[in-house]
Amino acid sequence: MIAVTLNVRELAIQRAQQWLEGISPLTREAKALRSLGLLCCSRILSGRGLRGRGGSARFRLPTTRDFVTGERAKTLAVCRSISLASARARSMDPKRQAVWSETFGGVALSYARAGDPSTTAALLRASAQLGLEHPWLMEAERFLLAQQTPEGCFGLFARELQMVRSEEPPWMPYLNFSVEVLWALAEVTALHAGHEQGNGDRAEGSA
Amino acid sequence: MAARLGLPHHLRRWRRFLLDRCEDRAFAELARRMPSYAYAILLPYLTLRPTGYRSSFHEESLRLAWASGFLFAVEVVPHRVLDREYFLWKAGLRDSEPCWSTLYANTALAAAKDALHIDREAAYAITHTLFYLSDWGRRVPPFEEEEYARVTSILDCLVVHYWRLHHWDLLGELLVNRLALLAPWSPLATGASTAFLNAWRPEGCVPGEGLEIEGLEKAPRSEHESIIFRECYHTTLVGVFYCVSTLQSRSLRP
Repeated sequence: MIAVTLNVRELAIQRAQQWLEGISPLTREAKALRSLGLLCCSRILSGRGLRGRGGSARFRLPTTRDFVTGERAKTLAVCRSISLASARARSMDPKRQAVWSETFGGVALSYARAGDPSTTAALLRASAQLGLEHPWLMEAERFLLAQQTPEGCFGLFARELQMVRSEEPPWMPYLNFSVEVLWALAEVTALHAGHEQGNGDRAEGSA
Repeated sequence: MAARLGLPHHLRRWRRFLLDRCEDRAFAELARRMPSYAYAILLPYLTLRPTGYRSSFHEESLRLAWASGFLFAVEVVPHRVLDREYFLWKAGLRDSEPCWSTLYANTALAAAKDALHIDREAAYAITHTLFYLSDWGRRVPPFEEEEYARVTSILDCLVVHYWRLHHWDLLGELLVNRLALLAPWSPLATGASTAFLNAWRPEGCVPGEGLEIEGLEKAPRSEHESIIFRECYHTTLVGVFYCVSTLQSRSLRP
């Protein structure tokens, strides 16, 4: 299930890559973020994606009710715990997968509708890490791609930035969110690549 | 079904209320004194007309509004055209049933490619479009299979959103729409339905959009009843409608 026309996504990633290459962070954190962003770009463009290995942590998803109605901070905490969880902890049976695909997709779009692309990105990343697919998740991906600026970074923050005076370089406010989006897209790419790999393995096996 | 809900008793009271409104001279005159409100003022009469009730004063107001052309002015949003055609048809003022597919084609629901662009007003336009197309839950809207899947997906996406926001008014209307469509019960839809029914307060109302319980507690006790009524009457009616639709939807199943 390929979410967004590849050309559109590839073009967006190439532009994001150029933007990342053009900035010169000074702090260790910003440098690390830039490196992660560039790694995501190259992995997306190569079609392999980036599959966060997670850790050894165990986690439990809340009930769908608590997940839908939970506060933003709790939703983000669940997404973080999914990123830190082991592959085994992330796996679920197809029936649960169907329910959670719809739930993550619905909540991701709900945050998108509320003008909160950051939470949408976190939910898309976590959903891909859980191996979830749904048309609403594709819609969330399209929404995130629409957040790209003409300069190539992600984040339509002009209104907010007009209200604050900052000594930071102009690209700084965009770096975090751009990497969030790129990481989510890299996880989605890895999920699709995994399917193709799986299909290839099956085809080879049957040959 | 109606008897199980005690509706005959309530319906008699509601009919009496509408009759009192229609027969109130001051109310009736408004349709001619303020022609821009004519349709709204005539609506209670239009709902009583199919039951055989006639008022020569309202008939004349209706004739005047009709002749003015404003009942059919083009500057009306598409779901309001559906509303108007529905009630004129039900009131026996149309020779034949409206062409629903033509009227539907202009609505936000027919045009929407996704749920992302649907704001609160458009969400209400969608629920009302489906109320009219389903004859208020008495029949399944006549959608082709592909359109049915698209509409159901948009509804379900909005259900999650308004459930998350605790917007019981829209959530209730969306759940009524799902029943009319005979949409399958997914775990999310079941969860949303349970949440909606659990929102029903011990006083008997379902909280409307503006009702903050904290705000209510700060208000003088003597004002509680009127605050609750003002903020909750619509959502509570939606709740009653949802219960009736739940029972009614059983008769829609093939």
